[in-house]
Amino acid sequence: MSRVGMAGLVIVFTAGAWLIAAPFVLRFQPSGAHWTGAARMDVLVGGVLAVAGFAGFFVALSGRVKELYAARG
Amino acid sequence: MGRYLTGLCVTALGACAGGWLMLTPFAFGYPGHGRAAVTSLGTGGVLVVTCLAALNCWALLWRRKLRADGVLQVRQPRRSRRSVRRQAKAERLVRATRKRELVTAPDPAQVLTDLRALLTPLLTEGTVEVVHATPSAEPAAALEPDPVPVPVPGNPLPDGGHPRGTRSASFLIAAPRPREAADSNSDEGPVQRGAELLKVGTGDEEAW
Repeated sequence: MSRVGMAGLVIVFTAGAWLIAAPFVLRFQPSGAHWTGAARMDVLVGGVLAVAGFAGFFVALSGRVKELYAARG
Repeated sequence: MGRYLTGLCVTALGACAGGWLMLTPFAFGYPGHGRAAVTSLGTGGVLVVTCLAALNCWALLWRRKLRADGVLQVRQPRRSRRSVRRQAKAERLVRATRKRELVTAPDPAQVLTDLRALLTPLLTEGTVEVVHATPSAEPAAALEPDPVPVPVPGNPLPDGGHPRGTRSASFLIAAPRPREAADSNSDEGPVQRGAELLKVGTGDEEAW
């Protein structure tokens, strides 16, 4: 169960990273051109998701480590 | 706690972002089958499904943790409650039965004493009947002494392998031996001797 939750956080981060990279990988935002609304939206949402997923994953991981230390005594 | 709260918040944010991504092609008028629309719809759909599953997992984990810490009460399903009631009823029955057995458990010494008091007159009467019913058909043979039992190498016990002593109760049932028949004519009959033997035997058992 805990692993599924952690995997969800990793997927959030991955989705955010993909959303940031998608306009350039799929070429619907040519480099050097004026940014389209779709590209701006994808990068914005992707950035938020990537930061949240990254931070959430490490906060959850640190909490788990803390629980293990507490259980060890 | 912070761990679960963070997991819940991040997955809830991911689900909301996924829903938003699925709406943007329609909200901002992206080209129908363009790459931007497909990317937004696909990523949004995956995000929604994954984040809802992860949200459920984090919620379950947090509830489990709270129950383990005693903050939330442990809820039992109906079947479990019923089985708990049945178990408690069975335990009550077993406990009551055990208590009754312990309370009414007889004292072995008292049982032996009562049994002796009951059986002594009956056995004495039975022996008298047996003695009266057995005729002394061969008075000459009865006067002969008992042959001394000699152990045979193949059969160490002379009476069919079963030693019959004065402690054995079988002497009360069996017909009197010739010597006893002969002694029945004397002053101290087999009735008195049997009673004495019974007393001696039961005295030993009581000491045990």
